[in-house]
Amino acid sequence: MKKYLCLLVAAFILLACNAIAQSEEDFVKSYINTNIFLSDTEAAAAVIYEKASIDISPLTRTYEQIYKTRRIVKILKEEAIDEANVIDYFAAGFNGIESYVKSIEATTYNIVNGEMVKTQMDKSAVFYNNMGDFKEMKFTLPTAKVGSIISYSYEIHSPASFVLTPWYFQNEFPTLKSEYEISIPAQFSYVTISQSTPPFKGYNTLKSAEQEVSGAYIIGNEGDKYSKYHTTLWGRRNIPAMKQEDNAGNVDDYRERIDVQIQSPDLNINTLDEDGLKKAWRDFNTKIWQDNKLGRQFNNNSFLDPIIDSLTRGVQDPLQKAKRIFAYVRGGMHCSDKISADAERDIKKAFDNKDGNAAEINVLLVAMLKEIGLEASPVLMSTHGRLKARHDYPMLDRFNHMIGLLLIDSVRYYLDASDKYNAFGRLPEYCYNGYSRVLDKNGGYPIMIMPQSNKERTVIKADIVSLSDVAFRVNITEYMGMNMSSHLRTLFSTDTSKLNNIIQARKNAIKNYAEMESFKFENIDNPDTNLIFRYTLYKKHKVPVTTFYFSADIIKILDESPFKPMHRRMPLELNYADERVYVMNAIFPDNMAVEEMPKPAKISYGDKIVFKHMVGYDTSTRAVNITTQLKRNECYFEASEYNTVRDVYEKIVKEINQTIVLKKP
Amino acid sequence: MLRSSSVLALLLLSFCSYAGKNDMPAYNAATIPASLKKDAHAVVRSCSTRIKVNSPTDIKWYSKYAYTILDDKGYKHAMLDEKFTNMFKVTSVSGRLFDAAGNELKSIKNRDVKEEAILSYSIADDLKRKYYDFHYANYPFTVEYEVETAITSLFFVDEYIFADDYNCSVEVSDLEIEYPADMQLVYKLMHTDVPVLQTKEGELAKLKVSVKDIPAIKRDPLAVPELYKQAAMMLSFDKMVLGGVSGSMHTWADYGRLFYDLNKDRDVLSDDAKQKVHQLTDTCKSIGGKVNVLFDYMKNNTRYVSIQLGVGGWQTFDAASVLKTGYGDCKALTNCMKAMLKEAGVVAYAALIYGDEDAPPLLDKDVPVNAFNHVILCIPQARDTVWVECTSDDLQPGYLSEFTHNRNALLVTDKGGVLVKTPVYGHKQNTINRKVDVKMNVVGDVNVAVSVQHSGEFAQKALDKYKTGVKSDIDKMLYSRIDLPSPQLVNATHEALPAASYPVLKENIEYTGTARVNITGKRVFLQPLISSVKKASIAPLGTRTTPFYISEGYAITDTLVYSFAEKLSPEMLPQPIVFEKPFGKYTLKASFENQQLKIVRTMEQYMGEYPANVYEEYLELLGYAALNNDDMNAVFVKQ
Repeated sequence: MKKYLCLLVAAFILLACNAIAQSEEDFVKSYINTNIFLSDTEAAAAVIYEKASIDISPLTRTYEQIYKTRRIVKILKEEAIDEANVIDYFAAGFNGIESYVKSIEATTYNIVNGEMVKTQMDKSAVFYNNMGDFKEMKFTLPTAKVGSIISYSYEIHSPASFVLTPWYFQNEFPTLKSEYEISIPAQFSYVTISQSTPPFKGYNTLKSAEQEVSGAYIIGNEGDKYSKYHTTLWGRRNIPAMKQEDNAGNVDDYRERIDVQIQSPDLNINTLDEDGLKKAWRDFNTKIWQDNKLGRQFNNNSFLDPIIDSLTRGVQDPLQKAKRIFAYVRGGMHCSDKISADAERDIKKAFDNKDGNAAEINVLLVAMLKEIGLEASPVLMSTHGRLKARHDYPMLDRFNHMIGLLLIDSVRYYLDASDKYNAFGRLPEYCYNGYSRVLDKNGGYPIMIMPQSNKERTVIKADIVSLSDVAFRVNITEYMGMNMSSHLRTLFSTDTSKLNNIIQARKNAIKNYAEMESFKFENIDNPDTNLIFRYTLYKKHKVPVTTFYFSADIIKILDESPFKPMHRRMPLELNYADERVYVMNAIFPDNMAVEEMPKPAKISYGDKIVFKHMVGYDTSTRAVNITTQLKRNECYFEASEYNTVRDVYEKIVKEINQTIVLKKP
Repeated sequence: MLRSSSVLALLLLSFCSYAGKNDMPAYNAATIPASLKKDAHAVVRSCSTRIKVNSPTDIKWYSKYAYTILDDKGYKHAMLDEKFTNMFKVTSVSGRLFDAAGNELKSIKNRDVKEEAILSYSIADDLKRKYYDFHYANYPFTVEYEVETAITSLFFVDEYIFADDYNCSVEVSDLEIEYPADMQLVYKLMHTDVPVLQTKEGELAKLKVSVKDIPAIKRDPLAVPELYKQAAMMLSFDKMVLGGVSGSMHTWADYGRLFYDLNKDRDVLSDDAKQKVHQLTDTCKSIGGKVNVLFDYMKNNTRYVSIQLGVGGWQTFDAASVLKTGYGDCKALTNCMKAMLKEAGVVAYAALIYGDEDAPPLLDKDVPVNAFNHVILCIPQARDTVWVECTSDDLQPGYLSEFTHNRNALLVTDKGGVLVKTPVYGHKQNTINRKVDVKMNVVGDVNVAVSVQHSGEFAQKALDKYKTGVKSDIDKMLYSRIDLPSPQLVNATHEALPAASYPVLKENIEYTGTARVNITGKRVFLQPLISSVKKASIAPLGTRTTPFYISEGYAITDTLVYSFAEKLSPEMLPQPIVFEKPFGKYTLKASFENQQLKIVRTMEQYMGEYPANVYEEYLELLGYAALNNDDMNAVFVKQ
């Protein structure tokens, strides 16, 4: 009897397994012949279903986290074939607990001779690598090709982290259904930041959530007072694809997603009002200032006194002192990691070894400025291209870089000494990314470092020193903007042939009617000022000309529009406010009449983009002045404004195309 | 009793004696000769390498090297970064740090050194690295590392490079190889003629060579490709074991034979697969037909996945596994295609090659080295060999692209390796022929009709884009072809034309927009060159003293015809240009007839090596090739 009972149980289990397996097969079958999802004819793949769940449960002395994921994807085009190569990274472990992966399942479904055929991956085909603090897992699904549906799932077991892996509902492919679930011990609470259109609507069951027209639902289960855990599931349906676009921030800042951060057990709130936010940021500051020992870096730094003394001797002005100290740190330290938020090592060691990551170098700078009594602080930020830091919750992983802030007479000077070609008071372009946090012993405070404050000004001066029917000579001086100057200095330091390419490009730009007679670069080794390019163009006509043409804008401040025709979903985000000025002066020869002169023009898009073409001609002195100015004051344009911006730039390019004609009577 | 001064003298003497026993040179940076600092960011103060060959599968490589880092650009040499796999394993590492005067500041042992896997595109590999950074940057300073490596095959002992980086000079570098006297070692020195000492001591043979004072060289993007830029030694042993297979690397024939033996009998297909091959190919009338049909089958049923574990980096998966799993790397996919062709009665060979868009130098015909990172397929024919890139769905059989053209490949045959050369795609294959008809109205609006035929690399790049089917990417490509202020794409069609050995593509594209024109009351100022092919230059300015090499050949012809809505007469047309040289040409001719402006432009560049004294003329050609529309002005007067 016992034997029959065992057989019965085994048969039941088999049936149950078959039922589960059968349901995925049926599910996949309903999509295997579909080739267009959510009307997206360009999609290279479609995510039919994906889900991640995080279960946190207690271990002996700590908490364990089980991350489960499942994904079903239809491959529509060749370029998505790499979806069949699965790579994941996870923390190697801590507190003596190692992370590991289990329950890996991977199956490919294809239509072969009209029938659906499934091929399962051999579990020995999973590979792991130790990458220091984290591990890498890789596997590839068999027989995957265009038209296949791939399905895979696995679990990652690891020590619990309070900052959970964010979940993206929206992908680069259209997504039919995406779910995220957390299950945490009842004594914990959590906060979420979600980017979702539309907002999540609450339901009691999955079945009832299927009715939700908006496709955004949340199912929470707090349990009762005896429950050990509470669970929450967020779901989204029918989400269009979103891909990275040019001249935009990180696409992840715009994709539908949810971030969950678990609060420590003694905090009994799950929403943050303004007071709660203040406390959360103070705790954030305390953690870094005290627990991570940043504050201690600014104590007992008398070892810096000799060098500070030698740098600032005889200088009274605090700003000048600061500049000297900045120049010393910038020029004297090797930067091992240009973007870094952790000042891991003691600054004395960094100073002695003349080596540090960006955070260590900037902390050293702040320490030196503090040592002479200046008001200086470290600042945490997220750089352009990363997710933006936000005020509504201190997500630790949003911050990836540290700079310095100096305050003199209420004027703020942002300082980054980790880049040898970065000017005093300016930051590398990638630092202007919005919300940042000043760290200090009083809890810190937020500041906004916006691209609009990164002002780029390029000036081109063309002085025509000789103009006649036999020859033409013009001296040109280009004052590169500070961002471009920094960029070119970096380029020249690694490959001097790049410098030659700049010269070649200028030579080519004026080849048809002039030669470059001489050229030189100035200020290559002075990062605190504009790079200057001076050259002379010269043309001698083979025979005296009767009609002489030359461009009013000999060197154009805008050759072509940077914005091509395209449909945009993401806003246009540019790294700096841009001003470009061209000034040409000439005196026309007495023996040549002015046949054609450019007309003045103004083109604008409110005060966001302003272009002026100004023409001044004094008939008595025959002196002409052409001034062309383009100012883009705005760095952020909604996607809906893109076509307008593009049209404005195209009009400007056309306008910078006028010709002066001089003719012998 | 000794007087204290005598004791002091003895102590000093003993110290000097002790110092004298130290046979490594001091690391005082001040002693570096000025000639070795020129163009250098780092200097190899000493490098002593001892290779002990116990047997073809047991080799110990011991290296002790010291770099003085002169400035920040040389910092990369300060870091220990030793890559290894299971077949050549770094077993021990130690290091020391010295200040400018040569005083030791710090030392590290094996336990201080990090070991980690390296991020790579392979799904599986055993590539790791040992890594250490002293985090010290008080220039100049010196780092010294000692590294011991255990190597399980002489396959990896094929060369020794005395100076291996730009802007890095070498003070002294020694190599000693000890091997069983019954083995034969063939070597060839490059860029140096220092004496090589070979001795025999009982059952052991030794080879010693030392080079001194190698100055730093700068990177030259137009240098004539060479196997080695500076002093190096090629090595090949007659006895070799790789993956359990015995062989030799004495000659290219031996090298190929080793690979053949390592991979033989891995081309067996299942019965089903064999049946499929016959089903697909039995009705094909030509070898080309069979190749195309099987290539399509592979394209639709397999994909590229890299798995490089142990000897798997050189030994392929068997063909049956590839068809079962639907994936493989370059050697597996090539082997599978070869197996299917074999079943169809077509003889084909795997060909080892170095894949890169810059063509590598030709190999030494006498001494083999491990110069390959890729495998393609070769189908020799009586007239034209057919080459097949089995990892790409985009390249038609018979066309290799710039990734593997114009270089040596080693055919792996049952008779051994055969060194051959892949086809060259130059200015006769990489062509663009464009006809652009522009109709312009009185305010400068234009309708532009472009009829263009591309071939070779130009066609391939366009076909790759069309193949994605992503409209936004295709539109981006088409917009990049026209130089108008505000173009609007109206219509575009394309057709790949049948071609034997390189792709040919025909396109018809229509745009509307505004010309690059300035219209005043009296005149029309037009910049007519709107079909753009700007070529970025990598050529440094200045004079040369050494020959230069042009690695890309192409030919572009444009015929632009402007028709105007109002009556105009030309006041100035673009000046004719005729620039013809052995390395290329640029011609431009403008004419105005029947109220039409016609401009015919040709731009050609020819691959090859050219003497230094024509370099400035080559820069002039590049200047023409990079001409902006600004330069070409046509001025008309309204009638």
